[in-house]
This record gives sequence, structure tokens and C-alpha cells, in this order.
Amino acid sequence: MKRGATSHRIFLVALGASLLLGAMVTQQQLSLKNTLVFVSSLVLAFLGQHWLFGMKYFGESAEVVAGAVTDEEIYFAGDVFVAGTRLAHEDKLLDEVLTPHRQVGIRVGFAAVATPYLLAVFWGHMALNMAAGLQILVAMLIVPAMSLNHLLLPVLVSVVSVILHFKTSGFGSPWLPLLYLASVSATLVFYRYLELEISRSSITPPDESRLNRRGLFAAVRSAAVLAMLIIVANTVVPDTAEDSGTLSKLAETVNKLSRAAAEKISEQARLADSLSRLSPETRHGRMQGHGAKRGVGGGAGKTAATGAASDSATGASAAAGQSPSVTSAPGGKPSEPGKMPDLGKLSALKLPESASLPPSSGETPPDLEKLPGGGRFAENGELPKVPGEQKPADMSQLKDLMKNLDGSAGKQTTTGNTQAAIPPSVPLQLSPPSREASALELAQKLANSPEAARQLPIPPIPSISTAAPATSSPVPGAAAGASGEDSDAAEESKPVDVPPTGGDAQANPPAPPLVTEAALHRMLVFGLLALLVLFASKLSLRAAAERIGGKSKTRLTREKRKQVLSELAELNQMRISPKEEVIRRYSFFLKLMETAQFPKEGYLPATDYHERVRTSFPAFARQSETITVTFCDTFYGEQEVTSENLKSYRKSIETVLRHFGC
Amino acid sequence: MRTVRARKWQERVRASESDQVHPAYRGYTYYARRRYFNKVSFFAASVALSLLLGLYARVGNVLALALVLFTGYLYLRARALAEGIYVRRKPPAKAVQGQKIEIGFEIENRSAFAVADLIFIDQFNGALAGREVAWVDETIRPHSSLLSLYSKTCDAGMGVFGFGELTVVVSDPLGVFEFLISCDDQQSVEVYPKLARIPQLPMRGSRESFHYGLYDLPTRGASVNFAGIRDYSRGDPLRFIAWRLSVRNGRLLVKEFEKIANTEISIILNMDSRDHMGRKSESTWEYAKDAALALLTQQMTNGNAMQFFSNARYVETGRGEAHTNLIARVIFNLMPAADPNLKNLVDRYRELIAPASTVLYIGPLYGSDAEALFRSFLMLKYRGIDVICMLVHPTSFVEGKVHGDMKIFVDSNAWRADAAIEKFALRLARAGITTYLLANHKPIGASMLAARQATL
Repeated sequence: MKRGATSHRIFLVALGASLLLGAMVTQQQLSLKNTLVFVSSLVLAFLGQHWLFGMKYFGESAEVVAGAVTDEEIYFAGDVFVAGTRLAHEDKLLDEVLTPHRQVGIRVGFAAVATPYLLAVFWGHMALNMAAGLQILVAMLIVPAMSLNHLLLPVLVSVVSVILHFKTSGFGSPWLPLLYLASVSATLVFYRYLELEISRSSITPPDESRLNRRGLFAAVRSAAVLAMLIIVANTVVPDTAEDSGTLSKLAETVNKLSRAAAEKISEQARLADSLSRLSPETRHGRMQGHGAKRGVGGGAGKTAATGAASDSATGASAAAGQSPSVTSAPGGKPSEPGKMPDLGKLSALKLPESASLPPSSGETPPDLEKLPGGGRFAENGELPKVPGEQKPADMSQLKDLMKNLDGSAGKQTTTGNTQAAIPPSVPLQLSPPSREASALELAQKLANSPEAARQLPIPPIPSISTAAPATSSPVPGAAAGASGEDSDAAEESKPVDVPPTGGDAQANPPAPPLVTEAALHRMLVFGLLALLVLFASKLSLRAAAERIGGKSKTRLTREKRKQVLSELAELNQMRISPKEEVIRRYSFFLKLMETAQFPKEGYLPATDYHERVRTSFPAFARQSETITVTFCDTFYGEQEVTSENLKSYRKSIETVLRHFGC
Repeated sequence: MRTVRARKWQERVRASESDQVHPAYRGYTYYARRRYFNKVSFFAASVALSLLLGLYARVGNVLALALVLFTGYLYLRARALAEGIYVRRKPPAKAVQGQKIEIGFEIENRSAFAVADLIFIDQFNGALAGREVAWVDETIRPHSSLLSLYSKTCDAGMGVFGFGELTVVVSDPLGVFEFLISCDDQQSVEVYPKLARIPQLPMRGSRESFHYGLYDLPTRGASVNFAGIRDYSRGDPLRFIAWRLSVRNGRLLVKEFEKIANTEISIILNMDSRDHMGRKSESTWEYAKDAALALLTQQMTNGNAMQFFSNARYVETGRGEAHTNLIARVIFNLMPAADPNLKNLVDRYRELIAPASTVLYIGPLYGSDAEALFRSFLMLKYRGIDVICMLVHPTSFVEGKVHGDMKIFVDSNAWRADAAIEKFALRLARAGITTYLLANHKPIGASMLAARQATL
């Protein structure tokens, strides 16, 4: 049998399977014709490669693995030359591969491989497309494969074709890609086995079934890990738009940023302008210094949350100032000074109709463009003429609120036991703060200024929130607009309108799902974390040498184990006296120890040898003592062996055998 | 010392480096650079393509991320395994040339992962095919060890032979990342020579010798072989007086016997590096040492006294087993070395060679002055010293073993040297000097018999 024949056979099967599966995965619609064409191409390719090269060149991969062909030094009359064996080997290989008949054969092979597909296209059975072309390329790359390394190239092209297929069609049904993944892993695993078999010194063929079993297990395990990682990556990588790649996302992000910046700047200008018109006494310096106060522009905004993304805190508080009835919490309970108001309660806060904040998305809803009193912003951003009767009330409230919240010009306001230091000026923010941040900011400001909190209008709660978390947003839009990761949580925290008094709905409420998608997601994350922790802990876990040498088991190689066990079987079959058995079994024990590279020197007494065994193999020191004592009593002392002694003697030897993995 | 390192990219593709590929093949990149198609390239290309695809579609980013994580997993696992693998070699202390020895090794897995499919690489310098590459396909469980062994034949000659670096290659299941655990513990095996049997050499006893030996001498001696009668001369021992004949003849007559004596042999072993060629056991020095030891043992059995000369060593005359062992030990440790002395060995030690003794010259001839050596032999012969010359054919040890650029040089020199040594052997034979021409791949005894038959 040729060296590497066993592994070569298994490898070819794995390679063929992976390439065929690759071809099947990439087909939009699996048909018998297509499959036949690809199978015939692959078969032709393998036959051509075998005819041209067979596996006789595979020996060179031994150099890659372990440097089996080495350059030796040779002594020549006082000089040392490098024998150049490896170079000669290389030259020989290349010489052989470049002979004309092989080169012609390769070209003929290309033609033969491409023929079935071309004929199918010619007769109209198959379409001329990229996926099929790549599969034919895969088959064509097999033909000139001189070495094992060359056979990686078709696998790579197959993988590329599958990846490209995923781009156009997505992952689709999980089973075929999973199978493909396993087959590619198997190809790589058996590739390694073939390399190992070629490179090793001894030429005994390996156990094929064992090789298959172990290789498949390793392949499946690797494929499972990779599949799991793909699932995780699929969850982690944001999927706002399925077909959007990094480039389009990048372009989209840049566009959005520039649009938002432009709109923000224009809004700033508009708001500044409107503010200056609304309150002529308002100082310009203040408006410039506190650009964030632009949320004052009331309007017919429905909720504070729509505008919460930009300067919600100030805006909300400013708007709240409009309400004459001031309560600190929805329950009507006044908040204690210096104490953080309950955010859950805050979520139920609603701003008055007239107060609104500019939108965060950069696009102003049409209703927000309405000014208080029914006016609208002009096209150029200028404010229309504001009715004079509204001005004093609005502006006075606004001023009061601003003073309360900001502690104007950096003045430190001490309220109760809370100290709030507010800088004299807040820089203009180009990007809107997140909604959570806005809510927190609002809460903080309210905590810092209980006066303002008291002035907040707390309207009666129009809806009931089924799940009211502490951080829930005042309106549904705020929670729903939170980051994608928390979308499920936000969904849960949405205030659900109490259904109208419908008897049916109350009597038969919809049953909640047993396992929600969010729960599955959490389970996946927890599972992964657990696996990660396990893997990390195993990475750093080391055993001390004493533990391995002493308590842990030491295994013999398979051949040695077989040899030892066959000897033991022979011994067991013998019909001998107990005395004879003790002597023979001691001899077997010595042989076993010799196999374990711990031979007994001829001159050494049995008891001295036991001392050595005791120190070197503490794991079976007691058993060694039993064996030695029984043997000495029987052999030297010529004592009779009792059945109990014989039993413990046999058991001790079995323990020693087990220690060596027999 | 134990070291753990990852196999570098250069090591994977080393055989296809431009300086190692024949210039004629550099155009055929697909074949000449075939080692660039390896698993690292495979994974790198997959990740790169996925990233490229990720510029246009999300699935590319997903696959790239997964592949990077998977590669990281493979790397970390292989590294943790490598750091937990310890290997020890357990060689025997002594062996005899040609003996098959079993070299045990133990692989300990101190990591928390099970490991299988290791490559075990060792180099025993005492064997011609000293490199051992074993595929350890047993699974070594976490915190356990595996005992195994491999066999090697001690066919690289005699001497104390060490081991090369002991290496274990650990890899991930897919074979993408490879870590090399090397251990350079200094261990050695003392390989004793296996003595070859050689035919008896045509020697004469030394008339100067006073020791009993194998050789009958045409001079008076004390053997039992009766040689004749002569008149008594003063000082003859009384026990040799033939009383009956003396009475009959009326004068004192004494009986004479033949002399049976041994001889004194001077073994000259040429270890000048200019004359030596080859590698390990397939070398002129090993062959010459084997021949010298074979002769030494044979002549010890014959009861001859021996002295030993080499370029850097000299052992004075002596007899017996202890003396032979002393010379054997000296020969055992000899290796070719550059000799600064321009005189050949015969000229150098001529004064120490006893008259009527035998000189055994053993060694190759390539760079030394053949003419001067021939003259030295003739001079010994004129002094009544027998010379037996065992020439080792030097180029037979390198022919066909050198490749590449040095091949032409070696082949042309070998051809020249072949002609020179054969001519020299012929000249010696014509001058009455017994000559044996020993060549590679022929046992010493067989070569000597063949030479004798040719002479006959």
C-alpha cells in the first residue's frame, strides 16, 4: 500500500463532498441537470488529475509538514558541503510536472471539465451565469493540482462562490450551508491527516475507521463552532437594511450627519431669531451663550418626547413653566427639595399643548412648524409676526424657568443638600443627545431645581402603562426610538392604551407567548457568555508536573496496549496453579513496567524495585506493594497462596493496568 | 530548555523561496510557489473576501466577523495546548553499532484541553536516517501523559552520539495554526563498535621479539621443534646438552630448536582531514576506524605487541587485552582533523618503529602527497620492516550524494581521485607492499579477500 493511501482516500471523499455541496448551495434552484453537469465536471477533473499526477507527488508535502527531506552536510577533504538533497527533490518535481505531455494533458483536462457545462449551455439546458462559472472553475482548478497545497485552491474558490451566493440570496435554509460548512471543515481536517501520514517516518497505515471517526468529529465540532459564531455575528452586526453594506451605511451615515448638521444650524438660526423677536428684552449674549434654550419655541407639538431628542430638558422645563398649576409628581405629591424625582412618574409627564421642542431626526414634522398662536415659520426660517398679547406671559415664564434651571450666569444654587454647579454657558450641540440622556438631563435639572419641578404641569394620566419601568420615556415615541438593542425592552415598556370598555377584550385577553424573541436572544447571549467564560478558564488552566506524574493516568500507545492485553488474555486462559499464576503474573507486571519505560534491572531485588516504583508511580504504590509482597512470599518464601491473597493480587495488577490505560 | 513558538509564515513557504527555486521555474508561479497555497492563506483570503463583500452587503461583515472570531478561537486553543505540552526523551545509555535501539518519549498534557494528532520530531545522530517524525494519533486527555517509543538503528558509526532538538508540533483540528514545542535537553547514547571479522594478514614473526607467538622463525629459539645439533659454546643452558651424542662423539654437543615468536605491529591510522570524505557511517574515517579496530582485535588474539600512531595520538607498544582496550578507546574517539605537520605519518614516526616489525597503514588518500608516502614505505622496507597498506577509496563515499552547484566539482574531483588511488595501489603492489583497496558498501573482510584473490 502506498504511503498516505488511507488518508488520501478519505481526503478525496471529503474534498469531493465539499465541492459538490458548494455547487448545490450556490444554485438558485436545484435541478437534476445542474447537479449532473457539476458532478460530471468534478469527476472528470479528479480523473484527469489522477491520470496526470496521481498521488506520487504528494510526498513533497512532507517537507511542508515536518521537513522530512532535509539537506545534509557532507564532508569533502576538509570542507563541508550541503548535499542539496531538497533542491534536487524540488528540481525533480518541477522537471516532471513541466514535461510536455503533462502540460498538454492539463490543457486537455481543462477542456474536458468545461465541456459538459458548455454543452448544457449550448443546448439551452443551463444558463450562462457567474455561479455556474465559478463551479466550473473549481473543477478546472483540480486538474493541474500537483501537490496537496494546490487542492486548497478549488476549496477556496468554492467558498468564495458560496459567500457570493449568500450576498444575493441570504443565508436561506440553514441546513445546506451547515452541511457545507461541515464538509469544508472535514476537508481541512483530512487534509491535515494526509499531511501527517505522509510526513511520518513509519509506514504502517493508520486505522481507517478510527481516522474517519475522529476526523468527522473534529470537523463537526469546528463547523458547529463556526456556525454558532456566524449566528452571533448575524445578531451583533446591525441589520437596519439587509442589503446595505459598509459602504452604503457609511454613505448613509455621512449624509444623515451632514443633513442633521445643516438643519440644526438653520434651526438654531431660526430659533434664535424667533426668540429675539419674541422677547426683545432678552439679551443677545444670553441667546448665543445658551444655544440650548432654543426649545422654547412652543408650537403645537403633541408631546414633549417628539422633541426630546434636542434639548428636551430645557425645552420641557420651559414649556412646563407655562402651566400655572405646578405639582412635582403625577400623583400630585410635591417633591422634596433636592431629591431626584421619580423617573417612572416623569414618564407620565406631558407638556402643555403650547410647548414643544424641535425634532431630533432633522426633519421637522409639519405640526411642529406651527408657532404658538397658529403662526407658521416662513420659508426662510423667519418667524411670522407674533400676537402681542401672548408675548409677556410666555417670555416671563421662560425667563423664570431659565433662571431657575440654569442658575443664570453660572450662579451656584444650593437647594437642600444638593449642590448644582451650572456653567455660565453651554456650548451649542450639533448632534442631538440621546433620548435617555435627555430624560436623565431633565431629571437631573429638575432635581437640582425643585422650584422648576414644582412648576411642571402634571396633567391627569390619560393612559395606563402595563409595564412602567423606571426609565420609561414620557411618550411611546421616546421608548420606541431607543437603541436597537433595547427595542424589545422598549416594546414592553410601551404604555398600552386601556382598551375601551369592551367586555370581550377583558374577558378573553390575548395569551402572552411562551418564549419571546427577546428571551431567546437573552438566552443566546447568556449561553455564549457561559461558553466564553468556560473557554477562557480552560485557556489558563494548567496542571503541575507532580499531578501528572503521580496521580494522573499515564497512557501507553495503542499498539503497546494491544500487546499487553493480548499477553494478559493468554495468561488468563492458562490453567495453572495459584503459585504458578502469581509468578507468571509478576513477570507480566515487570513486562508491563518495561513497556512503560520503567524496566527492572536484572540485579535489582524485587523489594528494591518496588521502592523505585513507589516513588515514581505513587498512584499505584499500594498495589505495587501487594504485588511484590505476594510474589516474594510465594516465590522466595514458598508459602501457599490463599484465595483472598490471589484475589487482591489480581486486583492490584488490574489497577496497574488501568493506570496505563489498558 | 523548553521553548514554545508559533510556526512562521516563512517556514511554511520556505522551500519555494526565490533563492531555492531553480531560475528556470520562476515563471511557473503556480507550481514553484505552491506552498503559498496553505491554510493560513485560505483563511486570510476568506476573511479578506468577506470584508470586501461587506462593503456592499451586510452578509460579508457577518461572515468576516465570524471568521475572525473562529480564527481567534483556533489560535487561542492551539496556543493554550502548546503551552501545556511537555515532552521528555528516555534513550538507552549504551548500544552497539548496528543495534536497533528503542528510544522512549513521554508527552505530558498539562493543559485543560484534550490533544490529538501531534507531530513528534526527533533527531538521533547515531543513525543514518536519524530523523524521526511520528504522528501521535492517540488522544492525550487533559492533565495526563502518554508513553511511547520509536526505534532507530545505530548505523552511523561508533562514538558518543547526541540528539537534535526534540520538537512537538501542536495544531488546531483544522491545522491552521501550528505551534512548535522544542526541548534541547542534552542526552546521548554511546555506540560501541561492532568488530568486523577479517582474514589473517600475511605477517612474519619478528626476530627481535622475545615473546611467544604464532610465527616460526628461521632463527634459534625455544620451541619444541628440533632444528639441529651444534657444539657447546660457553653460556648455553645445560638442559639443551645432548648427553648421548656428546658421549658418543666425545665432545659437548647441544640441541637447537626453532624460534616461535610474535611480532610487533605499528598501526598507523591517517586522520588527516584532507584525505577524508563522507558523512556519518558512510565516511572514510568510520571505515578506516572499523578496519583498525578489526585489525587490533585480531592481532591481540594473535598475541602480537602493538603500538598506535595517528595524527594527534600515539599509544606506545604493549600487549594484552588492557592495552588493546586502551588503543580501542583512542581509536573510538578519533575524528578527522586538519594536520599542520607537513610530514606524512610514516616519516613522522619512523624512529619509533622497531626493526623487523610490521607496519599497518590504514587510511584514505586524496589530498596528501602520494609520492612522499610511497617513498616512506620504500624506506621502511629497506629497513626490514614489513608494510601492509589498507587504502580506503575516498570518493566512493561521496559519489552521487552531492546535488546542486557542488555536484560538478565533486564529480570531477572524484574521477581524478579514483585514477590516482588505483595507480598508487598498483605501484605499491609492484614494490612488494601488500595493499588492500577498501571501498564503500563493501565489508572490510570481503574487500580484503577480494584483494588477496586479485593478487594471487
